[in-house]
Amino acid sequence: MSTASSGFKLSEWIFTTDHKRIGILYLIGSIAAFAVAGIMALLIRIEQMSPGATIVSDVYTGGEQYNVWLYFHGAAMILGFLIPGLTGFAANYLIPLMIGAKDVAFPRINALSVWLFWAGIVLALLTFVVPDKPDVMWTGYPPYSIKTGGNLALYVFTVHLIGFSSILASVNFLVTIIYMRAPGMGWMQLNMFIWGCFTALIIQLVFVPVLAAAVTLLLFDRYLGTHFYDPANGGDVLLYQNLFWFYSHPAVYVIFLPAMGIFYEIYATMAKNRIFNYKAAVYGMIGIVLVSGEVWVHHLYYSGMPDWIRIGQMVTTLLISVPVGLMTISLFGTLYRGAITFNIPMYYGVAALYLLLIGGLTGIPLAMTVMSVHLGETSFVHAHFHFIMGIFAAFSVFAAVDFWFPKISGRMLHEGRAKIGFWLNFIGVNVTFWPLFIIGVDGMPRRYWDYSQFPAYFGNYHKVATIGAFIVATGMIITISNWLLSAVSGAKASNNPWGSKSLEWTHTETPPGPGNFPQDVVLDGNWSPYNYSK
Amino acid sequence: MGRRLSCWLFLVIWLAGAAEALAISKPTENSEIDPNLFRIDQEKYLGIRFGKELTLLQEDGTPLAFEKFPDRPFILVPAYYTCDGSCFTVGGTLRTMLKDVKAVQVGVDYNVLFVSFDKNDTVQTIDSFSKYLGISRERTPGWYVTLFQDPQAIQTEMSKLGYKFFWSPRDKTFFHPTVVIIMNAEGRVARYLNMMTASAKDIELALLEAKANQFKPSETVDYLVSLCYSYNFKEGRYTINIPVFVGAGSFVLGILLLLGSLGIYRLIHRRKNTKQ
Amino acid sequence: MKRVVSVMAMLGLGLTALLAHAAAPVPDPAASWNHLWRDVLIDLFIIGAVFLSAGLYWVFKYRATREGQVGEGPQLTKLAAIGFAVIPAFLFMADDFYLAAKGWTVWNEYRNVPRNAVEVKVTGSMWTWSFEYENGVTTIFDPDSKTGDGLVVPVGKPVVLRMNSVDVVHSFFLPEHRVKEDLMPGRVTYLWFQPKAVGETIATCAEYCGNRHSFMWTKVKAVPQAEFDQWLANMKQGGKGA
Repeated sequence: MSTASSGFKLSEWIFTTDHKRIGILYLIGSIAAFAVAGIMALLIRIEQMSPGATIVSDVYTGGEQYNVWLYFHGAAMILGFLIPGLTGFAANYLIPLMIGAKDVAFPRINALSVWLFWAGIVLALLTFVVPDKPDVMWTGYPPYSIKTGGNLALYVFTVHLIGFSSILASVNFLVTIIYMRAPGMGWMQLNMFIWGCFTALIIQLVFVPVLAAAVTLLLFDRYLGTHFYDPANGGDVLLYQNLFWFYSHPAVYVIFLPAMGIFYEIYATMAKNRIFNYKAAVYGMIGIVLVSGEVWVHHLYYSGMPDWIRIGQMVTTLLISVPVGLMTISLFGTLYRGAITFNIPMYYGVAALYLLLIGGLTGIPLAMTVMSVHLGETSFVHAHFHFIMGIFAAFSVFAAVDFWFPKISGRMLHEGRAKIGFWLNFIGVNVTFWPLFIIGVDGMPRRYWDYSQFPAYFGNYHKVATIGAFIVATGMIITISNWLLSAVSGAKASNNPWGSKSLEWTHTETPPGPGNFPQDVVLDGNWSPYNYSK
Repeated sequence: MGRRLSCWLFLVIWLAGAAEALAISKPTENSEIDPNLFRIDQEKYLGIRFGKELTLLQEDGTPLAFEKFPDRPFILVPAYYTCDGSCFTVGGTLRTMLKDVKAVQVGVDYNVLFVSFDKNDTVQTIDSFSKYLGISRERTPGWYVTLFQDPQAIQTEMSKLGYKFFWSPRDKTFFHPTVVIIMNAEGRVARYLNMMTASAKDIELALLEAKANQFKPSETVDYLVSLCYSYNFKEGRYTINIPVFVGAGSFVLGILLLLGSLGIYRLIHRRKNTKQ
Repeated sequence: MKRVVSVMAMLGLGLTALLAHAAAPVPDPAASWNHLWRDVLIDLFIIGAVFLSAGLYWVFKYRATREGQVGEGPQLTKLAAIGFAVIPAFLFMADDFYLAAKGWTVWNEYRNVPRNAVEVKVTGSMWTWSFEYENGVTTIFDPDSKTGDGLVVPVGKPVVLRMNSVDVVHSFFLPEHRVKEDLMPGRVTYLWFQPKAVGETIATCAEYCGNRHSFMWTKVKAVPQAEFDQWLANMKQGGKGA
């Protein structure tokens, strides 16, 4: 997957400041995190296949092993795969190309971000090496995280490294989008993906410092004997949860917005159509930025917060359906009177339509305080966020790689293998998560490895879910190995195989050389990345 | 302001790792009664309902059934009325302190209820005690000075609250803790405050917290201010909730980063343009 | 005259309805939850069906039929663009407020504890629940040996749990009664439920609390009032429970 034609030199990749190579480095790192976190998911599913100890040693120490898998799966999928896959890989590779810029605003800082991210991945992988493996979940709630024997520092420093990396990246891309657009490119002519990144990165820049601060205080409490979260000494137990979700709920939109952006690009290109009601979708994205900071209490509906705030944030949380609804109408409307070509990116696109609905609509009962009092912390929640944040977003990363594969590698993807991978992935996720919805409503709690106290039929649903997980695993192996095979042996790609109107296809070579554009890009007021019908 | 400064000082000391050494309070060896005897293990008593089926007597001998007590938070002040020391001090301090509590109004948002734990107290001793403190039904609405109708109930009810006291024949006084108990509208323990260290601010914060579920929009600012403090069980008062400031600070930092990076880029860009 | 009669009849009906409401038996949050859940599911199903069928229909209808074909999606006029934003926005908001209002009603039921409720103090610790009754009786349940009484409650009387944790955050989750609330050190939280029939169910920890999180559960046994009183008295005398 070389972007330069002159062979492979390791030092060129290590010292690179080219946004395209940095994007690929992000992709490699995030796929590595995805693979290891995926193996954890399989271990979790095998353990849950039947009540009682399946692969963990015994009922007394089994939790120690299982909780480390859960911790790593959650932390690595979110911090190591989804966020870097979208705001690292996709944003890096595509933002300068889509806005007609030669590179990002601060290329050397960009290189620093990617290596900080890699350091974070390496630190996270140390989980499997240290004797006191972290078991604090990706949330790290005190007092547990302070009392446990598990290694809290590893968690905190991983958050620090990846957090610092994403702050630098956000600064970089925001400046790039604001100041480095090609002459003539107005705000309402931007690609939807650029808008998705722009809004997501604002959220990231503003909220990540809060998370970093919250976990730092956790570190002080654990290792320096402070009492920030210790109620006996004037600390506040609930405050950490508030600070954590004040960042981490908006973090969901850091994932969701670029993912939507990717699907807009695929829909517009494959339907050769303009975005339906472009402005409404853009204002929807901006609306999400504005409300994202006022909804975090829906993660604390049964945590002992005052009743009035639980009700207040129920209303704000439900109102998120307004901007998301507008974005969804735009996305679906882009199909209307289109000329749709079905190929592998569009397969993922149509799947996204379904995933968005299932994941989004199951969020509505969870937004309601009283529904959440029963559904919260059950596998219903688990299935809900896997549909929207896990699978929808992961599919967007896979769709992005498939869609821009010709541009990145200069070769066409093998469609047959990609389609087998897609169908296995799509069927697998449904087989995995629908059973979890059902037993979640019946009370199956999250983060349990043993559930002998519950009715025996829970075991059957868990067995089905485990089978689903293995179907997904097979699909993922096919998908990822297909990328590697096609990058080496695929047919040579033309400059614009999809016939897109977007700058990264129309104005660059395949793959783009250093400096991206052979000629400087100058646009006029009539240009639009979605001008197909003219 | 002084408190905030001292809190930051505390933070610095904490960071030095000396917190544990400081936190261990040394019992005073010279005094005859170990003050730790009166320590209330507060976490055990939070949420306890006081006087569910209890009747108290007021200064004119009229009974006051707890069922009929106004539906609002109150400050429960255990005392005995022939006391010549701490009870008067606590009562007097409370009288002056509550004048500085602005966010909530005594008699409107909350009440003050003195109860005697001395079975020898009578309506006469109530009278002299109230007079001394300047409490009367007409002039100070919301203030109640009462005793148990059934003296047998004293011991059980007070021990339910973890409130220990005993009579010392040699000193002819009761030994008892100098705490007041903030009760919520349901009559449940919300907070204990040590009157030797608590300030008007502590009382205000505890009352706001006790009525957190019924707060009115007009109290929003007070409520927001109250989030900056959190209750310290060890000290029996409110201390600054540092993580709130750290969190808010880092949020502001995020916004500044956004604006700052735009500024820096413009600066560099302008310099480049002028060079060319 | 006819109209007057019908108005009177309506008033009468309204009054009876009002009276019936006033004399209604104690609220039953779990039943209200189930009812609301059904309503929400219908709501979600309608929205989902509309969007999914529109999406899938368009996906199949607007397939490209020839090489070089381009889409003819409408270029919206300013008014149409605003209309396609504002009207759906109001529809979504209407649904949001409808759900919020319904949710709030049931929520109030969950938070207003009936006055005659039996009060039990629950203490969570890694990894046991202990229950203390108003007369001082304390019970626990051991999930390993499946011995101990756990939480015993009388049928037909609301039960309110006042909860506190001695170590980390736990959450008392009663799936059968559709309710959970976290416990933490330094605060007292509460939940209440209405045991309706004699029988056994479970309560389990729903907030991650470490190694034996999955095993932090207890038996919850609902017995007739008389049996409950008997049990409580026996326990008080140090006797064995039911």
